[in-house]
Amino acid sequence: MEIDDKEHTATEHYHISLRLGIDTFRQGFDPATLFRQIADLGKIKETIFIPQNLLLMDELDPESCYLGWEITLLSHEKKEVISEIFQFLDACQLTILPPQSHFSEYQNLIEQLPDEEMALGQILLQTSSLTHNELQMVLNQQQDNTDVGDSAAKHLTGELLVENQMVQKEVVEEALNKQNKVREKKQNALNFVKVDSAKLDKLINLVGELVINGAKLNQITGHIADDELAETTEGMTMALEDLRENALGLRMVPIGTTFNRFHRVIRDTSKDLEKEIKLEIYGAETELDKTVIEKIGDPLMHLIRNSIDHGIEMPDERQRLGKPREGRVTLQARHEAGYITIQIIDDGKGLDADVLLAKGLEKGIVKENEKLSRQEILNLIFSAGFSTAQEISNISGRGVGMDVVRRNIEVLRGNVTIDSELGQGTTITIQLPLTLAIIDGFHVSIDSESYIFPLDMVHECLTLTAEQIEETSVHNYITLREEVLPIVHLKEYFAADNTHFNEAYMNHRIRERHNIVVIEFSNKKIGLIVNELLGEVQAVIKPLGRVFKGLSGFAGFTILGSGLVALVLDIPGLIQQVIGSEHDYFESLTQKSICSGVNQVVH
Amino acid sequence: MSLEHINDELEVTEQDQHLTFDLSDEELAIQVMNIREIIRYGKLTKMPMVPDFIEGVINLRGNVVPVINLAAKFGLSRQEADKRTCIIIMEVEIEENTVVMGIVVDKVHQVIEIPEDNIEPSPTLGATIQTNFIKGMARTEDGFIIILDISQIFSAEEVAIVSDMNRDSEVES
Repeated sequence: MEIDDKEHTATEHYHISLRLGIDTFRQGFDPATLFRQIADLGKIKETIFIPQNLLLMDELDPESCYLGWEITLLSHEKKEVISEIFQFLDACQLTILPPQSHFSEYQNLIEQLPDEEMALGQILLQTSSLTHNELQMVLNQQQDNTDVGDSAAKHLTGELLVENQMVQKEVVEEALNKQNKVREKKQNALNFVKVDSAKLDKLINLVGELVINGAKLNQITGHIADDELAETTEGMTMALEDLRENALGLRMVPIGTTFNRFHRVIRDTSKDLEKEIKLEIYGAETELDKTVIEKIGDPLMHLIRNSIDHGIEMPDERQRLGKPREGRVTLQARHEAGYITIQIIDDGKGLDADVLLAKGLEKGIVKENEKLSRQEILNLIFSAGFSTAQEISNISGRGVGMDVVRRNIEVLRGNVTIDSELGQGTTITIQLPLTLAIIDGFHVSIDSESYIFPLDMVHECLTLTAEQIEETSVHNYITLREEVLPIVHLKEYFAADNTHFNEAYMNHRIRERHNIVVIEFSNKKIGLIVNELLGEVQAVIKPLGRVFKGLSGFAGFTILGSGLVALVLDIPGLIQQVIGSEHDYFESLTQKSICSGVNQVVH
Repeated sequence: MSLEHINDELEVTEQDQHLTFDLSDEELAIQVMNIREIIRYGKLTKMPMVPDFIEGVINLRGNVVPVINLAAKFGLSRQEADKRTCIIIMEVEIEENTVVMGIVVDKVHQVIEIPEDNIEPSPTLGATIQTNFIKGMARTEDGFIIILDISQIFSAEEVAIVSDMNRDSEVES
């Protein structure tokens, strides 16, 4: 076996300590065979001869064996395999210390064991840091001690293992830790109450009703000058807010459990593909609604498999490119303005925009004369019937394409975007609403109808100056503090038809009072023109329902304190729609006509 | 008598019960079976980006209910809302889901019994309303009443117009 010495430090050696039994020769064993077998498993770096019980020359029995060695072995074999060599040696003393590097490996393995209650020996066996024979020996020893009744000698399995140098102390500690964790979890499980999620939904609905009525009550008491009443309602409002937070919190679960599943996926698939891949997880504690977590697992699995299969290159290839041999897949989650952002980042070969475009043309997804932005080209990967893989492997490319991933995510009212640098890697960003059934909202009116913005995303509110209004009638942006801010005139955007946006309307529009709500979401800012700013409200989001289910740009309805229904805007959806038609905007700029601009957006 | 049997009996009589109302000077009727309640026309919330036969949505005891303007849907002239204008709240089956919807009518008259036998097929010509929305015509003392086919008006395709319209705009923009 050829092994490059430079790559292995001394800590990567097995240390075998062997003392042959005195009767070894009589049993017909030849130590030379042993060494040949050891050498078969790896490279013997060093042997130190340790004679034992050597007597004076004339007392020596030529048929007895007084031999012992300390052997340093460089091998990739498991401990179990190495120990097999010695299995027929009865009376020998044998200690095999696995390489230091296996330490962390063992620790990882122990970490990843399923959360079941296991005996210490079992844990160590499963991670092959201990051999069957060793375990048996220690257990016998333990049994013996107990039989003798010597309480002082009654040792724990772990202690015995360390004492006999079968397993490193650290590994035993890790295993014990694991055991404790599992036990703790079991203990904790007793503190949990399993509740049917339908009951939780019911509770949240009720809290929602309460919040609506609370808002109503607040509005009514606002008109009554009574200190005691005001105090009471305020107290109730505060308690209600707490109740709301808590009720919603009941459904929230950390995403970590879903993430941790992927350790195994990465380990197994990277082994199949002979790639070296490391998974890094950040933000495992980020909480998300349980129903969303259940549904996000499959799309994530698909994306991760894609990263492993198509993204990360073979180790040799990576080395040639000057990248570390080990590829890296990062999975991270974080909260962002009422949304959760999940990113899958790999440092693989990235996407080739030219190849994607050619493929798009070939499949007829892109038309010949169509001009696409880089982002749009990358997003082609989410189109139906689009697969760039030349050959289908069993890891990915099983017909479940990225379009299905996108659809699954859109069902959850989320969105997915991709960014990639050829040769540098790919980042896929998924944004999902926390499915907060109740949000803090910002109430505005557009054309005397009420709309609610999620308050988290409201960056600032402005009143337009006369020049700025002039500016908006020429193009769809204003200059705000030397930055270009895209503007959407919501009233016109919302209109089903734009026939009444005639000249008279346009003249009137300039005189109308305009407020701009500046929305910020994932580093994109957009200004939305509204008529009135009406302040903060707590909004219980009700689904759009069967009839309006296809209406994009809206997250749902809510009922205001006045009893009227208001629409809750889905900002990411809206931004995407607007930004998606950005180049339409620029086309419309040249026409210098708002009507056509509206036309492009609405129809 | 088995429970099912009772239900059957009830249904037979309920099927004959019809609510008559005025819509743009036409007298129309619908089966009471689908009707949940009748409420007074009040302030509605208009919906953006929808066809104009969607009058808006209302808050019905905490539930958001879409309201359809039948006059607009049938292409009849719309009447200004006055104090007799009502919203008939109905439960409709759409693709095995019960959806609650409202329709705006100018005036509600009464519940009358129209036996199945008295219903004549709708004329193919001369009707002001698209014939596939009409279940039939019933002769009364004062003349003919048009009986609407609720399941057709709120069929999946009709309702889907809202979502499709939106999707089209998305594709093109």
